[in-house]
Amino acid sequence: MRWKAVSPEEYRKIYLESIRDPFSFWEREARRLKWARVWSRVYEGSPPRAKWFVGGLIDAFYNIIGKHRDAWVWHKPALIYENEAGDARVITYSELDALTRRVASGMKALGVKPGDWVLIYSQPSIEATVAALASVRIGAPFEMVFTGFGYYELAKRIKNTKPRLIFVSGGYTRRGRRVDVLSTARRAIETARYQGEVVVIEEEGAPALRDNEISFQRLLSMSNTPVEGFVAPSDHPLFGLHVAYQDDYKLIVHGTGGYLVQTYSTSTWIGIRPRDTYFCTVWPGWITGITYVVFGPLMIGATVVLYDGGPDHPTWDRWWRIIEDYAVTIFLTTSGALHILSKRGGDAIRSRNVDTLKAILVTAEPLYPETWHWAYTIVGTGKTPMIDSIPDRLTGRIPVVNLYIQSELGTFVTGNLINYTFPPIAPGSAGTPIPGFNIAVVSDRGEPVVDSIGKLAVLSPWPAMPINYPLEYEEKWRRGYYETGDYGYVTSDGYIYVLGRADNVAKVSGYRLSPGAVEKALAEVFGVKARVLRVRDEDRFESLIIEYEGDVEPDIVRSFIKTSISPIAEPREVIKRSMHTAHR
Amino acid sequence: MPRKIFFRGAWISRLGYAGLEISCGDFKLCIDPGGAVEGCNAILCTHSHPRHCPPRALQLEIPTYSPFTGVIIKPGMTFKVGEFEATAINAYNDPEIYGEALPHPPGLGVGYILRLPGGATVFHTGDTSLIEDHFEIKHVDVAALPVGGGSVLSPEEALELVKTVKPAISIPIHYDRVEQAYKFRDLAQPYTQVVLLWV
Repeated sequence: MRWKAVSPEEYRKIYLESIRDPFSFWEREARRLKWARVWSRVYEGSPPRAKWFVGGLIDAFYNIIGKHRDAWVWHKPALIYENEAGDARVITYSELDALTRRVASGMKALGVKPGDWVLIYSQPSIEATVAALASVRIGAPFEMVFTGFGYYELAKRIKNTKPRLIFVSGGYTRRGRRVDVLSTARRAIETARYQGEVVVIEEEGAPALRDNEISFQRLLSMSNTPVEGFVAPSDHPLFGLHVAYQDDYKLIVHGTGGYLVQTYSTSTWIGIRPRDTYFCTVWPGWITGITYVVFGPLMIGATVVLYDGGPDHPTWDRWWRIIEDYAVTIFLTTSGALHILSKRGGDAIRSRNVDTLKAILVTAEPLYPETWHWAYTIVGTGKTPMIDSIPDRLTGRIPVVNLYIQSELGTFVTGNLINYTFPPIAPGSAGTPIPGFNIAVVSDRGEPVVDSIGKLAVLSPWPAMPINYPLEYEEKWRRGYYETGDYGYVTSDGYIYVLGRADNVAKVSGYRLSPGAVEKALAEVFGVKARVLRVRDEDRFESLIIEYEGDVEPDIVRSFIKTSISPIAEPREVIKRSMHTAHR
Repeated sequence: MPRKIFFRGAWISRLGYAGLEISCGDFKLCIDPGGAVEGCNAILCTHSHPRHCPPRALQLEIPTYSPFTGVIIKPGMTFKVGEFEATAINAYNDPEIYGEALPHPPGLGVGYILRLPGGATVFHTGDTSLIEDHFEIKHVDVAALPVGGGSVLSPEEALELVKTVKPAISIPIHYDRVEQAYKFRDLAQPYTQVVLLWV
């Protein structure tokens, strides 16, 4: 079933078979990777405390990069990085392998060992990707932190993970202005009282290095001692992410074996092939930007385009230009970004030639049907469909596919699969559940419901289940299935519609934000008592309103949130209430 | 949007209609710069046509390698230019197709295969049809391919060359309509990473 549509009946047959015995299903998928030692048991335990591929040993780095050595992929571009000025850098798979080995040697010379945490605070770049892969090679779990988080949130992550080493970008240019990442990182490091070394990925214009800072170039020359690829037990920590829960961001950690199995399979199913040039606008620091930038497409051997500038700089056609100039075939972005492109840059696409595009994938938020329609008919012009999105009408050329993902799940779990099961598209839906994932919408009593709003749930374990997690994740399993925290709706023919968070976690411009983290930060820094409210937003899906009582002016509160927590969390409104009018 | 790419220690950008500028460290090598010779440390000319290397634009103080002036280059010659190593290959229109009125007869021009200091190989075909010599080239890392058709490769012919030399990166040059670059891109995408560099 590849690059052709399937009937709803065919889909249902495959899907029901896969969830009838998801352990056998995923065991078959796991054999697509190369294992140093095959597992003795596919699954053991009881969720959330569950383990997959127990007894299995796997060299993660080999399965991402090393395996391409004797193939034609070895000499093709692995990464293309373009900055906002339009200068591009290209690195092949063989060069990526060589560079990663050198970085791993340097990291080992600095004392990084298997199990040590590495933090990476950088925009998408070749060096940031290399730092992540080098960590994988050593067996050191990494966390990539979104540079949209300010010093306050970065300090929190440093305190929580206690990294052995931190990689920091010197800075980059976005929307014509320099973003001084290093200065933010320095403030976070001081706040967190981090005592270790910092590797600075140099950029022109970055401040001079301090005593505990080493340049990336110097790291490369620190050691020639080869570092063998770490052969990890299946449940060895691979990477982590601080994820937004109601009262704060908490660390979840994904294990090696199960996560890589799920990532490789879903990456091939969504349509990425070795000959593809793939552009994902989601930055590492968010699960999509890790699974489907650092891991999945490289495991397949595709060429990955990285861009750290603004989508509207110098004009709103910047992403389309990237697609045009690099012959991009698969484009992954967020529903919210596509929505904004349709509204603010709707005409920009008309001046560009994106005929190489074969698929547009979107995620992170519900996709408005009218945005789907715009992408399907305006972006994907032409009459011959790549794959029949709507079989009874030959309209649109490029499938526009909405997929649902969550950090805890690790990968996409719903969506029409170009390279597997592709039933007709239902515009606005998140597609049908992906085979292997037992997705349902349940009532408050925990019963699956159809054609009725309920809570989106995953009824069976999945391979990329987190191996370390906070209490909030554990509580989501209290009924014997996993509650995603989203409201949802499933139709009688199996299409999932994701409606928004059922808890108080915010979704702003596709980013999952913790209102509680903002409240805590304001309490700690200003001594104010704040309440963060979520409201619907036409462009951003949700935005925040802050009510507080305390002795600080609203513009100072706003500025702190914007610069020290995240500009994404900047509230639509900040309301200072007196002691008599504020209420909880 | 991209105006230059960095690959294996070299910045590569387009120069004018059919040229390439390759910079390694402080050394800038220009191939078919047209009139834009400022800043070039050395010039390679494929032939003397106006949009490539008009003789009047060449400044004698810049070392120039060409079939018609400076250090005279003939197909098959290998020579050093700074830390670059260059091999000249044939570039001409097929007489069987063009008959007597060949815009690029054999002997007029050459193409170049360069080995850069960082180890990458760059292939500039010069103005040529698809010829037998091309099928003897084993592999290059970067290919700058004319795609304008007429007296140079068409997008389809450039694709055949891509399938032969299997470049990791292909840069279309020498076209009057951008649609020709798009066509080459669309045809060649599965076989090479096409990068549209803008002048």
